[in-house]
Amino acid sequence: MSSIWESCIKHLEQDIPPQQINTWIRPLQAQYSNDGLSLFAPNKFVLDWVIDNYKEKISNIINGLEKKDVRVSIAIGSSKTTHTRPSFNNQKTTTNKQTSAAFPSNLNSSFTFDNFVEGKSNALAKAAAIQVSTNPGEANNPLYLYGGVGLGKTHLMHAVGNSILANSPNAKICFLSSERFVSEMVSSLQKNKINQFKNFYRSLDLLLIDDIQFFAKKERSQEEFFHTFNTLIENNKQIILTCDCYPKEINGLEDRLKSRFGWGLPIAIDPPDLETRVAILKNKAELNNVDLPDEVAFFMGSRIKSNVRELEGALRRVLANSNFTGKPITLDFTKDALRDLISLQDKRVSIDNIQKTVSEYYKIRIADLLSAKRTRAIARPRQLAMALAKELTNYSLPEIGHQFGGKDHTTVLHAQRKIIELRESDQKIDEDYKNLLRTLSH
Amino acid sequence: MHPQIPLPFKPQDEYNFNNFIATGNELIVQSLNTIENEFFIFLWGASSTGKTHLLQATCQQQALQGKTVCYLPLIDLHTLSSDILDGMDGIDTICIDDIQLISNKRDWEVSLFNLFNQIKQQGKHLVISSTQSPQQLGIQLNDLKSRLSSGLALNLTPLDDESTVQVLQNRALKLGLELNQDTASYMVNRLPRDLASLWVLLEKLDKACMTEQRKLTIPFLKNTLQL
Repeated sequence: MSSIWESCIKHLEQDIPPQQINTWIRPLQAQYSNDGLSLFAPNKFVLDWVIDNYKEKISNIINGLEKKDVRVSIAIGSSKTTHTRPSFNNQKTTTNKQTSAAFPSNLNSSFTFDNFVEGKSNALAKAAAIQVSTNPGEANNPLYLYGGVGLGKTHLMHAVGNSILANSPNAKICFLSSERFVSEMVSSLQKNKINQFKNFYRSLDLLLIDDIQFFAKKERSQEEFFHTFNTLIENNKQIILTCDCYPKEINGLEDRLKSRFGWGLPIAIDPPDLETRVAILKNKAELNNVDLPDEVAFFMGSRIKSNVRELEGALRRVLANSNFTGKPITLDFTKDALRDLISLQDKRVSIDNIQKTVSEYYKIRIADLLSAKRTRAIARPRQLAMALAKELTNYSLPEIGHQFGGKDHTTVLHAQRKIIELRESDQKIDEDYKNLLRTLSH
Repeated sequence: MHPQIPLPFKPQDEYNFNNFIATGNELIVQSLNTIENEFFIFLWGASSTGKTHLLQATCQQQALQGKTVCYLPLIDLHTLSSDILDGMDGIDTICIDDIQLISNKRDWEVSLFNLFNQIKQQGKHLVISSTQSPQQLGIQLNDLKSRLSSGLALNLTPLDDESTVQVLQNRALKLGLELNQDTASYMVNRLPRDLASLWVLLEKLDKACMTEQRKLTIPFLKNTLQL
């Protein structure tokens, strides 16, 4: 950063409180040249505020420091000549972790198939992703990955991109979020560059769009994306989309897009099972050069069940504590480092909540769920609720039985086994279980 | 004789790591000091535990290293448009204070979600403070909620009595007010515990001392605050 700008900030600090300096002045990027001082604000909001409140002051200070009239200009943007965000209007870019490629793909090179921990819940998605990476544009187009948050959809998407790029370094690949697609389209419309925008996205070999659900209700973007989609598919170019739900369930999306998103095979990624959670933890610890003891990994994996991001956050906390105190990571150490998180997890999903959610889902009364009625319309939901209570809470079998109207622990055990068996044989039960698990894990 | 009229002069708050009493929160200070090791730190704790101080100190320290920083106090900004988060991903370290104020506000949640993804992609750093943990915040957008849970989340321990006395004395020193150990302990034991209330009372006492040209003693304090 220009030192004249640093000196100017020091002067400003004398009569502007530090908080305001940090909010309005420090975000500005400065570039000093023969033409004067150019300041760049991150957005219009900061720009207007600085112009209204500080520009005159800044000009006066700079003139005083340089002992001459210096032109001070302020605009939205960045002082760096190479913009760091790849997009259709900015094609010579790199970021720190970005794969070096002839074309700015925006891929994160740290997401590969090798470091994607596979388990029952994501094996199908991984297999499909590998297939797409070996034969892009041929089968499974678009590849549509859906599931809850923090389960590895984005990781797989980048892994396909990185793998294709390794085989064809000149492939034109672009990864972006649906929000970025929308905002680039809006800005290209404003700048009369919509044709460049269209040409850019329609000329790709591989288009990766993350979190497609954010297209909801953006009609103009959906229209544009519809045409991009058709062009790419017609030319056998691969598209990969991720979403939090099945195509037909996306609210606010045009039907023609919903049906197209289902053209390939939509594949669900479910929350990882215990063994996979343990493997993920050990894998992530290893990346930090830490050998996480099995009992610690099993403890964390059995307590934190909702998604991989929470596991990651918990692991960070344990590692930071161990680094700071110099103590080895033992079970007791881990319990202590995570005590607030774990007591929260215990409280988060209560049996009451499971009973309420299940009875609402099946439209039955909670009283029936807790009764001794054995008709199938009641017994199945009851068994499901019991199985979910075993999966999501840390209550013992007798405790669960007790909360279901004083049932025996063998009833709970039977319910749990029955549901495992039914999920294998009855797709409907499996769907119901997953839907309920998703609702309760949020 | 006319009473002495104090000038409306307030010392500028200077927030840095040196003047933060870290008792019980050493790991937090260390983590913020070495923020280059973490992409995202989430600080949470009750009010008056020093969240704003730490965020400001982080800005200060990063700025000294020539980094661009931005401190976003949501208490001032949350009633405005979330557009203020646009384009912030070009900044090296962003500190967002009081994130609980935007939970359940769809526009803000989506904007923060987008900013989070961009910061991560750009390899920049993010520090967020809140009165509650990421899981308790009541964020409606699950995509954002899970991301907020992925960072190094650290809970701030409130100051113990001894440290509060020390903080109070430091503050008085800055006002140019002599506050001895006994009087400071008296204040900590008898007055509201939170620092914000203590600051207000301390300023009131400072003014009274100047006006009446008296030293701050326990009897004077009792008299002034009508205890």
